[in-house]
Amino acid sequence: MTIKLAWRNIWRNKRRSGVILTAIVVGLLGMVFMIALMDGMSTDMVEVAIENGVGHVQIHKQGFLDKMSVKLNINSPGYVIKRIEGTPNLEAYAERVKVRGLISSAESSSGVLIWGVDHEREPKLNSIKKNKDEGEFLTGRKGEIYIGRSLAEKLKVGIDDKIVLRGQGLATEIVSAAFRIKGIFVSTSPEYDKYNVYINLTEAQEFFDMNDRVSEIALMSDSLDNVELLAYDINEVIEVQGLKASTWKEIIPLIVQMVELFSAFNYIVFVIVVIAMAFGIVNTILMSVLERTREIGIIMAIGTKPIKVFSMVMWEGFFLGLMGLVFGWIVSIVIYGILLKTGIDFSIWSDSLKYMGGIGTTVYPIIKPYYVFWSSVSVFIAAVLSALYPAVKIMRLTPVKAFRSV
Amino acid sequence: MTDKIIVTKKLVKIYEESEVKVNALRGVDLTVNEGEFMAIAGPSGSGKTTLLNIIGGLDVPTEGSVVVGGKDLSGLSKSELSDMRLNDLGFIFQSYNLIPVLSALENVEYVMLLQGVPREERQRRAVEILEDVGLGDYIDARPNQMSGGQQQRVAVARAIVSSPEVVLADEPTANLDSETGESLLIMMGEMNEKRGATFIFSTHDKMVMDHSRRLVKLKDGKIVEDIRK
Repeated sequence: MTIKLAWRNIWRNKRRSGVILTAIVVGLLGMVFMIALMDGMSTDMVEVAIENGVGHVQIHKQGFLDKMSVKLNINSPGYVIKRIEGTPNLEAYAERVKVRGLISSAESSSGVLIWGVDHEREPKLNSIKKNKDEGEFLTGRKGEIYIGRSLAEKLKVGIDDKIVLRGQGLATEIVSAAFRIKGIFVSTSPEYDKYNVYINLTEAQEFFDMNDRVSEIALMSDSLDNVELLAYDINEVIEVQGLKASTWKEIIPLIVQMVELFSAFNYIVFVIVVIAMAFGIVNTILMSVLERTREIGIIMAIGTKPIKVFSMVMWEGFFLGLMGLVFGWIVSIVIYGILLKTGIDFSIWSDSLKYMGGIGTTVYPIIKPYYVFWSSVSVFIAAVLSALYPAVKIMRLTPVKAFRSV
Repeated sequence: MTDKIIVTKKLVKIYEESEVKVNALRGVDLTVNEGEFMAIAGPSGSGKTTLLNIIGGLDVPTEGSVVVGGKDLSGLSKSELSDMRLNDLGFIFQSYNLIPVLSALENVEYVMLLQGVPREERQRRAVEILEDVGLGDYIDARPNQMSGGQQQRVAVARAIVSSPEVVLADEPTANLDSETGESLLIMMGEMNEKRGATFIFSTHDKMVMDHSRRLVKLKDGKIVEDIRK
């Protein structure tokens, strides 16, 4: 009877129950989508970074990541590649030369990172070829350079224009050579476009007196989930040679920190939403219970024990929490399905987004099972616990006090 | 010889509200026999509702004793008082008697449910008593689908369905027109004769006083007259 009474009591004031259910649905929706959005942005940031040349794993001479010196190089890349080919979860690899240098045109100059890449292997790990805006990507011919649009604008150069590259060679102090612009790319990050230039691998090795040496070997795993395992397996093989395989997390700690910041933000949002929702529900359930003070006084007078009154109000909280959860998830699934196709357009903030790891202006929410579970549990528990204060308050009532309260 | 069902001795009740003391009862000695159909009458503030509440275990006296059905209420815990109200007493109030979300049948069943009466017997007894009070056609009706008089009849049915020793009715006709009120009183009189339940009314309604076979008059917390008809 207590459960029947609780269920029917919810529907006595449909408008009020509707308000509570709406609060729960909106709370759940807000929480889920804020978290999904943050996760979408985090995933986007990581994907952009990985696709913009970081890859999943990079092999370097120990110390290269800190100093980026041409002297810290892999002196037998062919041997290393033979050792790592066949490693489980390894999908693709590419050798690179990376040297800090200077690019100059007749109009201007700029500090850059010079990438010497294999024009056939590199596109498997790097979206740089897909980002071509004008001209062509490298073809393997001597004298080609591939630069970003914002750099081209700074240098005031276009396709086929000549520029000069300068950098620290292995054998000599400073080396320089002229290149012609083969292609211009545009990525999601203008800063990336301004700072990174691409030339052919063999030309870079010759230019910087490296012979067969390379600065790094970049690797792609078959899945983001297998990256740690891939790095571990590679390190088992190469550590003896003074080399180290680093995962993308070790290479771009700033992105990792931003992802963690978003995660922390998620928890804060989570807590705020749950508390705000709980206060709203407490207030509404309390009103509903206090309105029934005399009625509850009478049922206590005729022999209902306070604990039954308490459990009746708690069941009301339970039913409201459960219905709120069910409706909340139905609405969330519908909206999620739509947003999965359309994404959320943040183009009005496009300028700011370019500096957030280069994420795109359309963000697709990602809902993870972990968050589904915990947000559901939290919302449900908050709804039920919101009924606790009203239940305790009304249970302490005596019939005489209840009669006097009207 | 009729048994004494209720005995109060030197009952005193003092309320303290915001530093003001109110002497609601000033030493009430009352004995009620089994099967009585009596009214406690008096003007507002005379203490009749207070007396009824104390007899019903809803309130505790400041001084004095009250024995109901052989049980001294001062020795009972809150839980035992609650059980006593459930099993030995029936209550009818002026208003808000019924649970609005339950039907007439479910309202009458409610007390038996708390007592643990099995479903079939509960429903059988509830239907029987609703028919007795003339509401056989309103079994599934909710309180908002019934008139005030019909709701009070359901309240009477609920109060007596579990065959309590005493039925306490606080101003049961206050919100009813005279015709409906009289009809209710006649019905309760029939229940009193048929089932032998003791009825005690708290009232200032002359019609209720006229229908009662015993009239106890209260004034300023004291019994001033006790008339047996």
